[in-house]
Amino acid sequence: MQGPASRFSSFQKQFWKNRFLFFMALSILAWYAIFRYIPYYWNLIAFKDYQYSMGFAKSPWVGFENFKALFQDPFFLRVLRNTLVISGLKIAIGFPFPIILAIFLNEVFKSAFKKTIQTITFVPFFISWVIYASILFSVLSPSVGMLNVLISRLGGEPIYFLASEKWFRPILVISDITKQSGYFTVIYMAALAGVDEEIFEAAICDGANLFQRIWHITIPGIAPVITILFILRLGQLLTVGFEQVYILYSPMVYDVGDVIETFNYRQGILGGRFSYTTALGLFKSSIGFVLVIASNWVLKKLTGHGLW
Amino acid sequence: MRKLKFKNYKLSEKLFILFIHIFLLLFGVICIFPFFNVLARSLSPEFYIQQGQVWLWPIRLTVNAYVKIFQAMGIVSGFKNSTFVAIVGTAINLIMSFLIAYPLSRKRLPLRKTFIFIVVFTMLFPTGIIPMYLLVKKLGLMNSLWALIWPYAITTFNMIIIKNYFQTIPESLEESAFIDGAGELTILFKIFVPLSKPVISAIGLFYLIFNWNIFMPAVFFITHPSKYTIQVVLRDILTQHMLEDQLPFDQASLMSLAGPEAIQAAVTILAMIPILIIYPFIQKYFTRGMMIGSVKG
Amino acid sequence: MSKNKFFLLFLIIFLLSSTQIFSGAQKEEGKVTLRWMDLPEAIGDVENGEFMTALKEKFPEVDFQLEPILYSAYKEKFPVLMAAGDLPEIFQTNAQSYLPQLVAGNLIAPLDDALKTYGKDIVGNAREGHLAFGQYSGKQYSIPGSYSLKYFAQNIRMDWLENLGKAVPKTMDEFRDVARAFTFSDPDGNGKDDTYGTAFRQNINFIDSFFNAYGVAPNHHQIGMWRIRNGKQTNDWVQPEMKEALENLASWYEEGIIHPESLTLDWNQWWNLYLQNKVGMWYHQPRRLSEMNSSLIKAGIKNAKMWPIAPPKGPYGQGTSNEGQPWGTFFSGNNLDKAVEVYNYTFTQEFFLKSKGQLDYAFAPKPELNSKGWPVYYTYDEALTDPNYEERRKKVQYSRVWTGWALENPNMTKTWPDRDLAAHVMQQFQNTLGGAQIEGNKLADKWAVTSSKTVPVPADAKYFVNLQSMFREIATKIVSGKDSDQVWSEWLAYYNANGGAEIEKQVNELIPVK
Repeated sequence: MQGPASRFSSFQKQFWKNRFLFFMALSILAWYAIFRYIPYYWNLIAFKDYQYSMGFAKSPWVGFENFKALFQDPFFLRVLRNTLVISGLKIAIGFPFPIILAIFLNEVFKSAFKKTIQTITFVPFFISWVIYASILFSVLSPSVGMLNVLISRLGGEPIYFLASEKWFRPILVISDITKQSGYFTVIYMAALAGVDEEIFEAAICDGANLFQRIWHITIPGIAPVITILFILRLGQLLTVGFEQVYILYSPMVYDVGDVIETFNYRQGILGGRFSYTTALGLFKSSIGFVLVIASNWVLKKLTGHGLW
Repeated sequence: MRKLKFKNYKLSEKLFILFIHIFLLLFGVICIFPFFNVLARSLSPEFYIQQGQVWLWPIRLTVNAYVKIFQAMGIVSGFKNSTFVAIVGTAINLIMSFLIAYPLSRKRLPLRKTFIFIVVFTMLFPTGIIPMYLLVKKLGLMNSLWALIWPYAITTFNMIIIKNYFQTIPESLEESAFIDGAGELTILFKIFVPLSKPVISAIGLFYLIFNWNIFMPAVFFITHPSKYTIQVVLRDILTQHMLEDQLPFDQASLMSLAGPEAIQAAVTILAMIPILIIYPFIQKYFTRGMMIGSVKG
Repeated sequence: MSKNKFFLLFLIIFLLSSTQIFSGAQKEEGKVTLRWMDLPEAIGDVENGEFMTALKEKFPEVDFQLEPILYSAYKEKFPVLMAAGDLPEIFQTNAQSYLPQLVAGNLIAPLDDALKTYGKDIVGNAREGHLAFGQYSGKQYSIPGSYSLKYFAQNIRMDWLENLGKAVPKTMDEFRDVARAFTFSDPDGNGKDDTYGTAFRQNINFIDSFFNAYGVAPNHHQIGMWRIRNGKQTNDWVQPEMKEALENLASWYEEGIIHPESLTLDWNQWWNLYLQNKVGMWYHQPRRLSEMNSSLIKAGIKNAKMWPIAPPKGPYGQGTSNEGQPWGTFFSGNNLDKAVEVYNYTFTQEFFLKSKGQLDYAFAPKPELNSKGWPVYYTYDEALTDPNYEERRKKVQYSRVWTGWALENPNMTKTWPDRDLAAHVMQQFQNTLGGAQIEGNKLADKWAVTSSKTVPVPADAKYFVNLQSMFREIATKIVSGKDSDQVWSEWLAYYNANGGAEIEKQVNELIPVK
């Protein structure tokens, strides 16, 4: 081709060829700039001593003082430990669960059964934590709860689950699984629907059995989604789910159940310490950020799938 | 085409299938139990719920709670406002997500990694509510339903899932389309979107749920009752019927306030219904094999 | 569809929204704008109610912009409005939580001058000593709501006492004896071992009568009680008597005469236990007793009677807690004079008649006026029996903005020129009270202990929330049976190292010992 294009370097050439694609992305990035990046200036108050009387602009700079105060806070180690343990458990057990659910659903013959189960598992997602908790309270109650009635019948001692430091974390993890799994199962089911049916048929012709099909077709079929979701979930490692903990916990279990989000709520919303909680938020996000970059790098090497 | 038949399975496979069914059935029961409990509560008089007698079946069936809700002020306008936000919002959500997911999924996009980085960054560092409040005020969106749409026009998590799916569509497909003279938008909407129906319907569903349930932004950005969304109106009804001697303005218990439980249960059921009606229509896109032979260059 | 069509669609949506963006509210010329943030229990039709109509008639020059905040979202929204510097001319909030920040941030105006000129009825009709709940560093910063958090009582199931042949308990030991009987002697005679002596709510909340017997208390919202000891302001939280009181509760709890789930109960679950006829002692507001008793009777407990009695006499004292009134109306300082004038008008006789008596937070006037054209309120008995009462009360309650007006304030009508009308209104208030409430209020007048610190000090802004949270935690730990010596010494160390000492110093400087 003759003309100006020939003078372009290869990058410019590629740019020119895909300029429309580029501007398409750019137009949406403008939205990101306005609604996501402009508000970021507020995070600077993590390095200020924010005071209402001076507002954002005039509040004095204090460098890393807020972060220092954070790391010296006697509560901080406790909430960090609790957050890591609870979130870790949620990832270890709660993350694979919807995948298993999707794989199982995928092997069901009867379409009516499959659809019913799939709908049913989605339903708890709509029940707010307030109501879900009230049901949990009545199931787990040491005096009248179904579970404890059963335990007593079997000759055991009733357990005060929600005031028990031993049981509180498992209850958070299990109730999270039963309430939220259906939501993520939808993503995996959608991904599975995109796997070419002919591959399944070919496998059957080759005499692959059920387990081989799951291992060699189903799982690789959703592996890219699993990878992405896993990386993103790691980015939220220090996020446990505020509402759930806030509604279920009580001072009885602060030692094992007080997490960064509930701590942050008490400091920020109730205590009005915006600089302090912003510093905490930045700390939390930075950890997530590092984890995303690292896990993306590792998984990209291992599986070939990644965020970028 | 050879069909899978259960009777052709080996014993170990049969046992496994049996296990799968029992497992799903058990998990299904655990999932549906709260729903029936809430439904039964919503249809029972408050008295029996307080007495702790309502489990899975309503006692002295009554639709009183629903009647009270439908008689409440603002239900109609709330429903209208929410429908607007849900439909227009979800349309904008999807279109904007496509417009960014498509370029980001193409390796030929200049500065692709930078762009992805810019986008993913926003997912990890959330935007605070205070600067968002100031921004919405500055843009003049305060007290407008658009304040519930524009600031939430893209959920990056959802967009990444779409992008991830687009990535599996081979480049050979667009190359042949380019040769036929198609532009980027045509390729996106005529090839990519139809090829991604399952994922798009799942994400569309997520966006729809988000828009329908939007609550905190409505509390922050909407000051006039005529523009309240259904969730705000429902919460308002709930507070109206709340136990009155919560100490006036009891700080400690505001979050966990449970109103009279029948109303609260009815509110839950009502908020759920529109989505549950739509769900089966969307669900058909999640069936295995619906994309037979679709992705071929 | 071609790409052009898509762009067109997109463009249209953008344009639609931008017309919305730039069509801000039009300001009416020559009008004073008063934004009025209401914090209602529910958002009704205030704009068209008789309350606002009367105000708009009187002040045609004012453009009222009502901004209700949903009651259950206030705690999240208010700090954001504060930080964004977007507080309205008139608003309500809780002094305990925000007063120091509001003053330090110049977000509210002192009212002393404006009250002198425009607030004669506010000041003249205030409950005695009540305005002090809105004073801070020597200035009046808010108009506290008249509704008082003084009227709490120890209540007990009289019918259970009768069934068991027990006398009304007076001392802590007698209370314990009765609680044992309530737990183990089947006071309701249903043949089941399903009753308990007493119960409290999580955070060891609402059992203050048991604490006051030891001369200390956590207070209803657990903001802590302060008392003068040796001529100094001291915090109950860290007194050795507090440890004893908690250990006393721990031994009750261990014995099983307190409902075992008290450590985690929320409000509703706690209340429902009483409705389920399971617990015999209740510490709360007696005005709620009529509902509790009628619910129990409806459930088949024929003689059910939860009734107020004197609080238990313990080793170091006896009493119930009075928290005063942290809630009040604040003014941002824009158009301050007009705002105070408008607010003052709602306390006048003229406004009372114009709005047909739709002012009070808790009581409802009947739809018809009496022969003199004065509003008449539902009496206690009418409220219980009239099937339309609930509907009416809600309609009235949700068509007005919350103000400091309250029938139960004995001074409410002091500045009114028509004394007959004033006497009529005060009589109406007496008619709205039931037997339990009259008895309970009398007891509260006798036994209520008022905290010697009812407004926060600057140091509270930084330290209070953490200290409160920590206190709840250690109190729960001690009651649940953890080693009290160790927990208590940890608490004292934490208190002193995390602002407790500083708060105490400021309280002693700023709040004079009377």
